[in-house]
Amino acid sequence: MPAARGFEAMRDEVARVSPHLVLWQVGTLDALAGADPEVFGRIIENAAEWLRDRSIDLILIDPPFVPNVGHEPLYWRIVGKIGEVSDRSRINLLRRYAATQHLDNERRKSPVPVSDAGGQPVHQACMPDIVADAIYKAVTR
Amino acid sequence: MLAVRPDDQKQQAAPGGDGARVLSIDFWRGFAIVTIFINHIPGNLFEAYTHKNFGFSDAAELFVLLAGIAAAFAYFRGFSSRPARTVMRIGLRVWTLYMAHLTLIAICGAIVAYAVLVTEDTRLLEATQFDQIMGNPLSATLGVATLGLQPAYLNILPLYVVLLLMAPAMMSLLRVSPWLALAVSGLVYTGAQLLEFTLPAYPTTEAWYFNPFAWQLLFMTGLCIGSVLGAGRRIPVGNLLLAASVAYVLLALVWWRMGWIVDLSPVPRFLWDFDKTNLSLPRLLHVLALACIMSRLPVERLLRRTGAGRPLILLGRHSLPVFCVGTVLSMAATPVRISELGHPALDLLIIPGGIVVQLALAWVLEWYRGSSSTASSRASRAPSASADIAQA
Repeated sequence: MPAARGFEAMRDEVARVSPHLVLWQVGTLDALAGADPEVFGRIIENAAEWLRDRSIDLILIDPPFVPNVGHEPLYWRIVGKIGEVSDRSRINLLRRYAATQHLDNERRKSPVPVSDAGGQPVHQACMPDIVADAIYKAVTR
Repeated sequence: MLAVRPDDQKQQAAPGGDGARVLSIDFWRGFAIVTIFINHIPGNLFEAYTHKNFGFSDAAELFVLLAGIAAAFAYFRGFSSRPARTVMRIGLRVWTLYMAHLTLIAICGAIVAYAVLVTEDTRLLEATQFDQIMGNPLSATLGVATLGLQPAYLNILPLYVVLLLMAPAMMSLLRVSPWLALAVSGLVYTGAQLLEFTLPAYPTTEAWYFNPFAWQLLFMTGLCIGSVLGAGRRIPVGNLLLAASVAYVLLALVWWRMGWIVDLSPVPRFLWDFDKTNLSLPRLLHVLALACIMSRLPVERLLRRTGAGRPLILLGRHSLPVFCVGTVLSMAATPVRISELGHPALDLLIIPGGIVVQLALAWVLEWYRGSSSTASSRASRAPSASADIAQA
């Protein structure tokens, strides 16, 4: 299961860099693989517990929402399970799915593309980068 | 790219034996290829039954070990007698693998792009790691050409390229002594684990999925085994080693099924964790234990006596083209599966269907090889006949 491989890679990375905080973007591969949500949820809980034992904070980031996708139910099961596990195990969760769904709704209301002052489309950075940047600014402000 | 090269034809012919191919090497290579095909379609019905679910190692370890054995069969004897020519042959093989890898990236990229266009699900790009190519084409082109950018499931051929590039140095050591070769290789492995040296990815700041400096130990082990088998000798697997191997494989089975996670820090992680990227020791020992057990089974005799293993033998005999086609098929299977919301019934069609396509390819290549060798033997007879006539 992709989440299991992600947990394995996380352990490797934690051993290498000894972080205070892990941002784990998880669920897209598991959704596409049609993973069993129960097994997936257990892996997330095990990973959270493993990090908690090492006093490392965790923020989960669920998959983004994409409109007009026929197989979207594959994502619902996984996004739902991430939400359920984060509530039950008190894990921080960045609800990217809900956020991007909200943004999509807003975009539909006003179909003008978001752009910077120069009229260029705003650079779409990787979500963990944006979150990490926001946390860094909040901590060092 | 998909044509069978003369190198391939010699690959499993044990030069020290009776000249006949070692069928069990072809058989296990075929087995590894089928397993890789199944594992590269995540979530399918059959994935839960491949051997990665029953121990520490998976088909990648098997593939690299067998690649080492096959490389010894193909190059080691030639390297001893005509090193320059053999190095040239290895170079040509490396070029073939590199071309195969680039072609795979182009075809698989096209499949993912088509799937995104049809489904409108841009998350497929992230899932297959083609997002870097689509999002940052300038750097990505450089990354693809330098093997620094390896999309998902397209990372074993770059490893194979680097391992073959290392092969002449490895075989030079092997010529002196297998123990010296293994000792140097073990030192490099340990250094890669402790000093964390690897090949860098590009354009990301990460590293290769398979660290070649770690995986070379398994390839080197394969070279050593192949050099012994190639000389017509056997690898002595005593009862004690066999018992230890069986015990280890059983322990791995229980461990894996129970999902135990231990942390033995500050003992170095590679000694107790299951990191695939750096081929941690439990994974390495697992594939070697499996090899020890298999070596004591009468697989070769059974394969020669019965035709039971012929399909896998055929696949293994044409490993590169079959592997490439399998990779393309597995990449195409994921969008098909998600279009039906991963319905298990579809797996009953996709997996056997994919294997049949690969078998058909192997069969056609085998037929072509047979007809080519017949034609070339006729052609080689023709000048002799002409010469006879001229002499007369």
